[in-house]
Amino acid sequence: MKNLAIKLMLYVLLLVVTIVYLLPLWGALTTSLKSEQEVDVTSPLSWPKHPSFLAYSQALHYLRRSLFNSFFITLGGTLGSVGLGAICGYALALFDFRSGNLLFILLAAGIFLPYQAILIPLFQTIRYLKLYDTIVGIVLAHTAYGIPMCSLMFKTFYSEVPRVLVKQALTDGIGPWKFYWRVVLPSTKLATVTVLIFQFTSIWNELLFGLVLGGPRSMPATVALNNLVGTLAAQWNMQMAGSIILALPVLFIYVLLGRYLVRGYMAGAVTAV
Amino acid sequence: MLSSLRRGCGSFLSRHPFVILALPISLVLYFVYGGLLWNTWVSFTNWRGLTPTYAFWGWFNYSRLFGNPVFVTALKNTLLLFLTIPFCITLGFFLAVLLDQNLRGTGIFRNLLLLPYALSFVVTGTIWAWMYNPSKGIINTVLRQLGLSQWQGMWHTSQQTVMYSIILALVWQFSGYSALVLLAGIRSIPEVQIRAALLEGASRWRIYRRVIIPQLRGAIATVVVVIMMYALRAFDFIWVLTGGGPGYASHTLSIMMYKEAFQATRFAYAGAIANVLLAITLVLILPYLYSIHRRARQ
Amino acid sequence: MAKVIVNRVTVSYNKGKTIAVNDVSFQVEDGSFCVLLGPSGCGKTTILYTIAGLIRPDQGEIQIGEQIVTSTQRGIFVRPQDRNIAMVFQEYALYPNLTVRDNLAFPLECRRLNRKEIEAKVQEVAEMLGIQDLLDRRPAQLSGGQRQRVALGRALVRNPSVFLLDEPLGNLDAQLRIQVRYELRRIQRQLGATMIYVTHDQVEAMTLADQIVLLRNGKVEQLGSPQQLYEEPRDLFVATFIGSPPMNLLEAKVLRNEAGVFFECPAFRVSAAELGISLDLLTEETVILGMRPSDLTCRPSSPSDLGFEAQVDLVEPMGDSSVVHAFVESKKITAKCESGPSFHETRIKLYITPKKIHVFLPTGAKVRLKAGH
Repeated sequence: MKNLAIKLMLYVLLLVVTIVYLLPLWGALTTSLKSEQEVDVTSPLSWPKHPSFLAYSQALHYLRRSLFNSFFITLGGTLGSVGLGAICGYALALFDFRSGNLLFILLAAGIFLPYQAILIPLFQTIRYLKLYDTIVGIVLAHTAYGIPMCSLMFKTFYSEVPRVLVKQALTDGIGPWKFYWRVVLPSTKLATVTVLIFQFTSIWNELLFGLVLGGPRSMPATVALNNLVGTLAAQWNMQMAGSIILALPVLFIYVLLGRYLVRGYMAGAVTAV
Repeated sequence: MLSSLRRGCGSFLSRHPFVILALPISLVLYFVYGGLLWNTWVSFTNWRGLTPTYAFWGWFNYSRLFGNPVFVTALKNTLLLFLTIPFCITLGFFLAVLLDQNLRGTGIFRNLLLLPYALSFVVTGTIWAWMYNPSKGIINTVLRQLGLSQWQGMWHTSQQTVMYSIILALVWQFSGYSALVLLAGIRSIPEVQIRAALLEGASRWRIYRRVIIPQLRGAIATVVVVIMMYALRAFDFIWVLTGGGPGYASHTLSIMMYKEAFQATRFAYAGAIANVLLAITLVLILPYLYSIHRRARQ
Repeated sequence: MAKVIVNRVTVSYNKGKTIAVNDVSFQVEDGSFCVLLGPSGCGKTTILYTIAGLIRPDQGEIQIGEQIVTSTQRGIFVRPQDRNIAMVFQEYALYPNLTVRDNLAFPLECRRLNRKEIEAKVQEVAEMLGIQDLLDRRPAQLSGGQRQRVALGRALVRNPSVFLLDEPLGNLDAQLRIQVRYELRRIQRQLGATMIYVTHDQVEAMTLADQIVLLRNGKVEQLGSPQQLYEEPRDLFVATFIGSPPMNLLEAKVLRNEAGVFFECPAFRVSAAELGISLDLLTEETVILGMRPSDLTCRPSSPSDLGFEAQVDLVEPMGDSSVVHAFVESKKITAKCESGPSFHETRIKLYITPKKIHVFLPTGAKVRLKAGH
């Protein structure tokens, strides 16, 4: 009996903690559905009397172009970094070659890189390549700087392929890439999805590269929202609506494919340590 | 071409299969390591304005830094951000323990608590700007409703409290992640140990203290490393919430570097700031890199 | 099919600190079945991998057919995929996401064969091994024995120069093992294939091999046919490793008097001349006499047989024969006798033909027999 009471108390505690924890998100939601006047007058915690999507359509008007940009940037950056990271991770995981250790350390160190330390050279490089204010430029940056993390994540996943299978393929006369394409890739679909989703959300959420390399034509939605917020002073409903719009794809993924994202976070943690 | 790709056997790729790694490796070598070297070089030049001048200028940029009060503030703030770590670990641990009690629907709660971590800093920064709004924000509103009006504050609009407001928001964003990792760590402890302790009559709290926490060192280290890396780079959130203000009160090294480079176009100076940030990062991760090297050798 | 020559191969790990294979040389005739036998850690698998090209030796040469595929001296190294070998591992290593058909066909896809030819070959091999009904299943749906056959089939499909097998029967249960062993041998004979087979099980080696290479600690202890190793073991290790139950060993004192040299052990005293030993170099004080349990009989087979009494401890009836565990003055003796006469007596008399007694020096080396034996 005492156990049940304790369990109940803990449950209530958990409930309360979670509700309090999510208050900021709740506040954002309610505010986004209110009119400006209502925002001024009512408590931020209250549900709007007459919820309306006006703020959303207004925010969307500003964000539309940038959302397209974000989509292509994220798509390109994800495919680039995941694709190249996968082949690096594969080679590192299953094959021994002399520079393997060195490569591993280079990539491991690359994960901890503070972007500020390469920002100026990146900026210059993109300018020289005439890729400033283009989607391709930002995609290039995300690809290059996403490779270390993706490589090591894939290395962790691919290490689970039994070594004897690799030996078998070699003696069967099957080259490493045919083996990869026909055997490894189909049997590691989970790993591929995990890293894809992890990278997708990371790149979608990213601000810095978009800020430095993007311009009026190519800015991702994160930059656009930031600009919007800067100019909107007190129109909180639009700001909140904009934030939620930006968060939607990630929320979508979180609800439907959340377990892959969680796997990605855990794998990222294992990789980092 | 396609048919030989299908065979994939006699082609060039099969004789030198790992040549293809040259692409990602050269990208990393250029953009990461080449970038580091280039930036270091820049920091020793006198580059100002949009057209780069690569004339060597010695240590001047660095020495100017240390006399600059803005830099000192930025450095202080960057290190101040490390405060998020103990708070995240504590809150995360508390949440993890709560989630470990095998209550109904623990998975859902865990996912709800993790949600902030999945969101962009731009999103959370905007939301917390609203949270912290002195007149209509949630925090002050709730305090008023709870009868604690005297605890209201200016949060991110006041120079004294801005950094702590930022830290609070970051703790909020990372604690769910911290709870996730710590919970996984708790769950990875073999059942037998806990059962043995229970048989010996240890109370639940004792078990946590004596059996579980000591074995969480790995998980805790993970969380520390991950959050530490975010803290050092933390640009996005602060940029959105305060832009570095009010004044220079919430400048960090990353913010200062950005402003110097891309607003004031003092690129060489910014390069030096970036290198200081790099140096701090190196000092912190070097022991870890060393241990990877040792492990990789085996 | 091709012969294989292993020439002075040395493989070490840990920068030379652990020597796995120490200057090993042997040849495998074209079309013969060679077994690399030895206890765990003797280097047999390492040698196999070196022949396959999965490992580069520190020193030595490997030749398959007419081609030198590894030579440290001449700086030659041919990659495993280019060596035209087929390997079968203990864990079968079937490609998990491919069907049996695709598993069998996969190694062929890199040869210049079209779809039809590949199909035909797959069908042929499947029928040879009796797995043609399993072609559309996935490995996870097969039993251990079936997987083993698919692994074998995958090797057969390519007509390689050499088959390399690494304890392929280790995961099968006893009865299946005997059955697959028989089929393996049959197929090998039928195809005239060169097979090199690694195992630690001396029974397997004895039944399968044309030639056994017995290894210990990276060195070759003895090379020869199973018969040779059984009847003429070069030293104590070979003598006790081969043969089941293992050879009985008795210490014997060397007595020298005017009548000649005698060996005296707890069971009997026998003259060196009877055993046919050449005495010139015998300086030791003791020797070790070895007697195979199957050479110890319960009835004398010839008048010159030596006999002795032993105390019966335990009898293990095996159906067609019985293993008798007995003691001679507290030294254990095992004998294999035909079942029949009851062994309920506590004392029995055992006989052995003197020529079948092996004599070893205390160091383990075999004492050389007089010329003519």
